[in-house]
Amino acid sequence: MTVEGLRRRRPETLGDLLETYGRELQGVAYLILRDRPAAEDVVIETLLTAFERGGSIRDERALRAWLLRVATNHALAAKRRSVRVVRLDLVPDGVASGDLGADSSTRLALLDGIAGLPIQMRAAVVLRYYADQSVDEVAATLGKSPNTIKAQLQTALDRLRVHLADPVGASLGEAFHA
Amino acid sequence: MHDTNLEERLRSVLRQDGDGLALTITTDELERRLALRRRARTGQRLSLMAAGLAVLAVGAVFALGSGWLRSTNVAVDPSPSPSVSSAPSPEASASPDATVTPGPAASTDPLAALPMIERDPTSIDYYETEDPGETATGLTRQYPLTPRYLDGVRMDAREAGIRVTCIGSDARLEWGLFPRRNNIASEPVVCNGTVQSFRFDLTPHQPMVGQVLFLRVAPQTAFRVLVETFGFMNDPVRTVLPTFAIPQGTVAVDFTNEPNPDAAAESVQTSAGSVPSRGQYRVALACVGSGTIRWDIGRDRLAGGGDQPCDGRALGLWMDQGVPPEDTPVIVTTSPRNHWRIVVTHDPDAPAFIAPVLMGFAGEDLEGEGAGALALCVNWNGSGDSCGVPFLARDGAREVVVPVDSSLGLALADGWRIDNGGVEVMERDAARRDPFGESRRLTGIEDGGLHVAVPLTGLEPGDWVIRVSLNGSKGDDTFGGVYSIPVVIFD
Repeated sequence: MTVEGLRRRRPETLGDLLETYGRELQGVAYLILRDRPAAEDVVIETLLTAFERGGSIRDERALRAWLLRVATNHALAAKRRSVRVVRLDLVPDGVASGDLGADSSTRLALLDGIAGLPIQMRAAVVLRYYADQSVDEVAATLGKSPNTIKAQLQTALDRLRVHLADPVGASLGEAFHA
Repeated sequence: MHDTNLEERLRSVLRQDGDGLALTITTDELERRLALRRRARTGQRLSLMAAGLAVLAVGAVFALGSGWLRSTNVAVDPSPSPSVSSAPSPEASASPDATVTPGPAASTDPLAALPMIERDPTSIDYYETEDPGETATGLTRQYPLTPRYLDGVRMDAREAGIRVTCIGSDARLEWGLFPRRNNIASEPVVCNGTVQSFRFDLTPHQPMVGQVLFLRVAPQTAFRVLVETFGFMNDPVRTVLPTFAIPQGTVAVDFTNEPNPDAAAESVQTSAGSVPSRGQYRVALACVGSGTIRWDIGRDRLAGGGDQPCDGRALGLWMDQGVPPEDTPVIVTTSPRNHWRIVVTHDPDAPAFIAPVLMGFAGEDLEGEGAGALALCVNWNGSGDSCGVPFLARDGAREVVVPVDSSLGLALADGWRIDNGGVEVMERDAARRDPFGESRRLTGIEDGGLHVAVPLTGLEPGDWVIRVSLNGSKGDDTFGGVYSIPVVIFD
């Protein structure tokens, strides 16, 4: 049992943590950061933090929530360390919508829209809709009030809806061209 | 789309994207990193070196992604000759023109079974990636390969080469403007373990902005990709300042200089105007002439800044990284002989939130007069992005003088609560030399409160800068910011 292994600091616990939680933590970190190497780094730091400081956790469900919190904080910290000026996607004239299937097009538009959300809002979306946390759990993970999280999620949905309605227009609205 | 439908779609897309990544971290890697951590705690510096290397690696990846390696790349070879004079048409595009290396027999490691891709010595390697193809779902995976590739650095490339090798079901390269991706390429790739080469003429597609290259592969198809560019210096030098569309938002600054071809000065600093306190700015800038142009919002990049070559190309940026406390000047520095225009807009609806002062006290008691520090890199209620900031105390921050092995008390003004955060430290001399230099993590703040005490254990007597990155809250309002507090430790 992973929790027991953490309490006893068994060396094999690292492997257990990796196997049990690694993929989900990587998914959360990647969806927040959109950077695979950085996401892998977050997973490693999270699991090491758990191994060294997770001995007081008593049940597996609490362990998952705690790991998600640590991973999210690591991901937000990694974002904080990153560079502060971001290039706009400049969109030239003549972009036609298109020939993709509707499903792929929606998927890409959604991913594009998610990537355009502010980082804290993106983290809330990822925890709510990828990690399936409740609003209260997301609030606890991000250290915010449930009302703040509710407002952030609603704003995110509104933005994504607009983006889905006109992804190219939304991009053009954000951009300008040479 | 109703909320419920949108939420379901969101779940599906996020799971597909998040779960589709192969988990390549191994227990060995974890144990190696754990050993490094432990060695660091015993006073050795091995983990610091590892962190430095990691930062360099991430930095290099990011620099490639954001185009900041422009000058490095250009320096490789100023005038390479394109090795292919005729290029395929944009739509028909390239076809595989070489089968370089047959793949070895299947292996338990799919990547080991693929040949390495040898680099063309006349090219600039721009992007390389691989994936062992462990995706277990039945859906086709689409790898967006080149937001990095076409995000600025090689925008003027005349030709590009893409070499792919894969094992599994067949794949397809797709390349073009989002969401239509086949205006440059839509080419099948045979996944039989051979290296297949594609060359594309990019001339009809300039400027190469907003382009995305996808490799569409079936599940459990391992692949390795190398993207190279050729003939990148063939464009004629631009001499006329280009026109560009105004960024979205309210225009705060729109300034075009009058160049002075006879000026002798190397560079001059021009105040182009000022921007109000906002969480986000959009900047458009173009310059023709020679050398580079530097722009700053706020002196010493208080809110942000950057450099770009004066090569006639327009650059668009957005900054989402905090709110300066008052109207802030926009400063442009370049040769007086250069001709340039800068436009800065802001979102009038963005919050003009001023973060509370962080007070630092000697000891835990919050006694005496605290030394107030102002925040950089502020976000408010989720608006405004986090960012990297220098180790420099803002104007007005006074020193906190504390005895060795004591603690630093912290409290936010105006009843704000410190929720969580982290504390880093750098020697003040080192911060002066390089405010973006390597810092040392002191502790984390996990259980916050109206005031917290940060132990300064292990810091030698001397002058330090303590940097506190924190999330704070008051009622339903939240914010995040970074504060630097000068601290003197005495024996």
